[in-house]
Amino acid sequence: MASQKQTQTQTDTQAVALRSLARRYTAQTPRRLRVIDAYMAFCVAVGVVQFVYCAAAGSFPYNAFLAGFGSAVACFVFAANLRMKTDPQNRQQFPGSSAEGAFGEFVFCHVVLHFVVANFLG
Amino acid sequence: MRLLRAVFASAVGLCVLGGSSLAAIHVGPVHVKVMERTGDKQVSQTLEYPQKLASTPKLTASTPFSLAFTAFSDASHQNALALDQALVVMRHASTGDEVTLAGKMGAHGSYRVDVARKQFRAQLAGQPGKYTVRLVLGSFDQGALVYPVGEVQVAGKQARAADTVVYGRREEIRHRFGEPQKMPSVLVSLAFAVLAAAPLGALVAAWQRMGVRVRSVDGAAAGFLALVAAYMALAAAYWVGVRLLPTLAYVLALALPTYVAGQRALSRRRAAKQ
Amino acid sequence: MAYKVFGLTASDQTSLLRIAILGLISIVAVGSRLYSVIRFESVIHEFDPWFNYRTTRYLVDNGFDKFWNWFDETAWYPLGRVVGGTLYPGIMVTSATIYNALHLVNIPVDIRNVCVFLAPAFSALTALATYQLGKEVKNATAGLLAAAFIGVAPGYISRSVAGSYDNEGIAIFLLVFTFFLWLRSVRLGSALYGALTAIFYFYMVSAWGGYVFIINLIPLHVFALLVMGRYSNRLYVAYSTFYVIGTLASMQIPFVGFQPTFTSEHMAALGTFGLIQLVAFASYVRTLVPSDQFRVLIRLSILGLFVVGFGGLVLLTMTKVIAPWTGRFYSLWDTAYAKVHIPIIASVSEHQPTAWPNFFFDLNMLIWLLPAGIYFSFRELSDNHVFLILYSLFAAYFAGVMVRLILTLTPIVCVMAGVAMANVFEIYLDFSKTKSKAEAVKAEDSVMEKKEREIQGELPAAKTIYETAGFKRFYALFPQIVVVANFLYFLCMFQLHCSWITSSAYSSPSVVLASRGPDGSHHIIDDFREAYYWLQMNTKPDAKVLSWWDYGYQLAGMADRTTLVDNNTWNNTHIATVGKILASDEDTAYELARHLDVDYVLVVFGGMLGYSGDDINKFLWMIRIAQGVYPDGFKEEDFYNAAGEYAIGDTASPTMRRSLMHKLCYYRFHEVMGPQGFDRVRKQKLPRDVTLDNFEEAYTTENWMVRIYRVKDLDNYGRSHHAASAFEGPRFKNDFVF
Repeated sequence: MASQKQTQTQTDTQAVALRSLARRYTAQTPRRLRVIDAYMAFCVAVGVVQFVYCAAAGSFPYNAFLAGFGSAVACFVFAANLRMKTDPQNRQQFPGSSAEGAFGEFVFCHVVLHFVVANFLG
Repeated sequence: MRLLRAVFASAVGLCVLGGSSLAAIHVGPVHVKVMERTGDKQVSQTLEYPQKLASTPKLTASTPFSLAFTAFSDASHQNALALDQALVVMRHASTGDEVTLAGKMGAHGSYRVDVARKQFRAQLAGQPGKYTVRLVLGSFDQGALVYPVGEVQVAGKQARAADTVVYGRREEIRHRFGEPQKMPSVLVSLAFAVLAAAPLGALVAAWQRMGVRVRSVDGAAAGFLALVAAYMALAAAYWVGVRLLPTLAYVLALALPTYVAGQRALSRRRAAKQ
Repeated sequence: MAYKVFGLTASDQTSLLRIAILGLISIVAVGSRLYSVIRFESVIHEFDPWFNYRTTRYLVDNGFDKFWNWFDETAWYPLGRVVGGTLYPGIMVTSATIYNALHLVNIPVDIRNVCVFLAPAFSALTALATYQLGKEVKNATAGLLAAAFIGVAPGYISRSVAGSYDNEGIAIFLLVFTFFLWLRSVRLGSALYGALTAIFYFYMVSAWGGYVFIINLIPLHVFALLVMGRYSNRLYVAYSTFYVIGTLASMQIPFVGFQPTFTSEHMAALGTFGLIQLVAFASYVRTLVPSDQFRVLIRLSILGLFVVGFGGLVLLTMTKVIAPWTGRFYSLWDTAYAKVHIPIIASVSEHQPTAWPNFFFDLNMLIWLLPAGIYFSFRELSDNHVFLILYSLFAAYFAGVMVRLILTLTPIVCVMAGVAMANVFEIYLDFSKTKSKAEAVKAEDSVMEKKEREIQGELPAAKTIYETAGFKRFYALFPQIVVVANFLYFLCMFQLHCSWITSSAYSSPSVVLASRGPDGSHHIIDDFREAYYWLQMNTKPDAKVLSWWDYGYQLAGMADRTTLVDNNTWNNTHIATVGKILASDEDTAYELARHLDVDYVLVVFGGMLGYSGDDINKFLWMIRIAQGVYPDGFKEEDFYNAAGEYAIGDTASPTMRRSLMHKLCYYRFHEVMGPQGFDRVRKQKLPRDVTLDNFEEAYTTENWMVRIYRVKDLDNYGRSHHAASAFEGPRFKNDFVF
């Protein structure tokens, strides 16, 4: 009985934690970051679709799958980088860098990435 | 003059004839053996020149056939002679094909030819039938001797046609390509393609709701974006068909303007913000 | 107080000085690698470089596309080799680019010279990269010292002398530079440097199989930092950028292919990538919720995910979706593994475990400065220092396992020694403090003196030498001078040691040998090139030459003839077949050789000169390799005589004496060495009566180092060759009986 109660409270605390997480996110995140978050969600969705396709229909042109999936992951990661660097809360973590510099890096990474991916698509 | 030459030639000829008649190869008793596998002798005969084999022994892969003899340089069989050529020539009675076996020298002047399983399979089994057996002996200074020993019957199967040379058109060689990979149907692929593109719409919708709008961009930013777009176009062109090295050349050519434009656009933007 | 010299401020002077020093280091680095060119000539060395040279020539002559799709039918006859897909093209592309660039500006340099001087040129770049690395982890002093060390360290010179045109020549530069970029990207949290790290990592992948070291060490660094609770967003930015671009790029090299997605060597990197995503997300969530709720959330997710991920990894490995570790990798952990399971790896001398004097030989004092460097790294222990420590430990371990991996140890040893040395010099070369101290003592003394005078009247007390101001000043400086002098002495000794090692041990091309006569005269032994040139001029262009795999690349490169096996040991069975031919008796060998269409057999024999790297000494490995594939044919024990010795003379075992290798090496050798002759390598009496019927001697070089035999055609009369020889009598004794 006691253990059941404990589990009950545990799930309660979990639900509370999740709800407060969502609340704080909407309250604290600037619009600029939310735009990036949406983009990251988009990358995840694209990646998941490709992965499901690979699992369901076979991985035959493996290079094409890797190129597609890899570029989805890479876009996600680059967006995450951009987000971290433009988040005002993280300002002091990145010495000598600015939002614009971060965007420049973002563009550079993308240029490199897309040549690699284009070569890999075959 | 002509007469003189003819006389000279005939004299030389006589000398040669005389020489050859003086020195000749004499062959001692020839032992012919055909063994059973068990070691029993099927045929064992000793022949004196020019005696011939009494019977026609039957040779198979499992009945080794051997022939041993000694060559002498005198009729009294005193001086053994090392030959320059000691061959056993077996000639197929109907086709005329010859199989030549070389004698191995044991002691000085004594030779031996063995047709064991290996030689039999390699040389005789392909063409069964009756063979005449001759000893062909020769020495550079003692002349030559041909001794028909007799006949043997070779058992075996006629070689298959594939082993013989066929002239004319051969069967065409077809290249076999690898099995095509299993691919899902076009419908499934298309469905997934649409599915993969769908998040793009969702993204645009979400951005709309957040209120993202494209504001007018100033010249520097436009140039920068255009150059980045050129890079993306170049990547696409590379995918479609531009070779690697020209692509790299274009990449290098675009690098400097893009860097300058990016630097200018971003620093201007930063300055405007502050 | 700022002095101005030639109108330059102090900082300008420093940077000018630094540039000058780096320039000098580069010159020394290049210069000390040129012994071989000066002593011999501008020639490609050893074995593998010949292949690289040949492919580079092909690339320059035929262009990139043809090179990429090259199928070489003259190697691994009759199998052939897909060259484009089975090599690391980095070094060839690099030299071809340099060649074309030089030709573009009308410098008509020969491709051979580009190849010969590539490694020294890159060693100068390595020195610069090491400087950057040292500067990144400590300061410019450490960087300069590290650069000076790597410029001359024999551990690196061994693979980068002029003519040693091998992958390692450029790979070490790439290794060091990649690590430098990585450390900088971690320190700055810069995606730009992360992407540059990935680009140089890609270059490294294209150049050397040792890239696996990078792709395991960097994730290890990240993992260690995560475990130490040092996650930062900078780390996330650096690693995820590097991993994503680096992995996708590395798969562009056909030889690597899709390995990064399914071999265990690359799984650590993938796992760390997944882990850092989770940690990053967790730490982001932590900024949003209070800590007690966060703890609940983290317990919920991280543990479960980690268990699932690890279980999945094990499951995938067990179901063979992820390839298990390759044999070469196992041999890194278990030094006895290779000898038992893969003799072809163990047979290469550079894959043997390292004997400890080797460390001193190759690194001299640096090896004992390494622990000091580790100590100083522990004192500071920033993210970069964690990396240095990990690199030191792992590289030291691997260098102990395999001789050739001293190469990967050398850069970190140089950096660590630079750090240690810089720390020492920072303290002991700083005379400003001692100077002020000495002045203080002096002032104190004069005050005391005055007081004493006042007390004792006008009579000054008699002073011992220990009390003089000069001595005190000297005494304050003494420890500094001793330490500095000591280290300067070590530095000089190090430099001497390095040049001595370089000139005596690492500057031999091994294609051309040198010897000194008893009177000190210098002899050049050029048998290899003599033999290869003979083959090129006297045999049909499509002749197939059988030799042990060591000489395959040289044969292809210098003689331009078809080979059966070469140093790219990709097909063990084929090599074992060649081993079988050489180890079996003449008749079996003849049958096999005819079966493989062999025209010539080439053996290397050092008995005349005392050249110990010959085929008879390698013979046991041939037997072992052949035995591994054809277990019923041979036993290694059969080649030892009754006393268990590896004898070659009349006391040799019958199997040994029957073997083709023995016959080819000793055929007619007693004729030149005399009946009492000795084999100068084995120090044993020569065998007599070596008969050879199925092969005939085609060419033997001046010093009998290379012997070439023709495989006889079938006898015209269908006799066996033994019978024919018995019939014709010994060939060389008395040809004419008239």
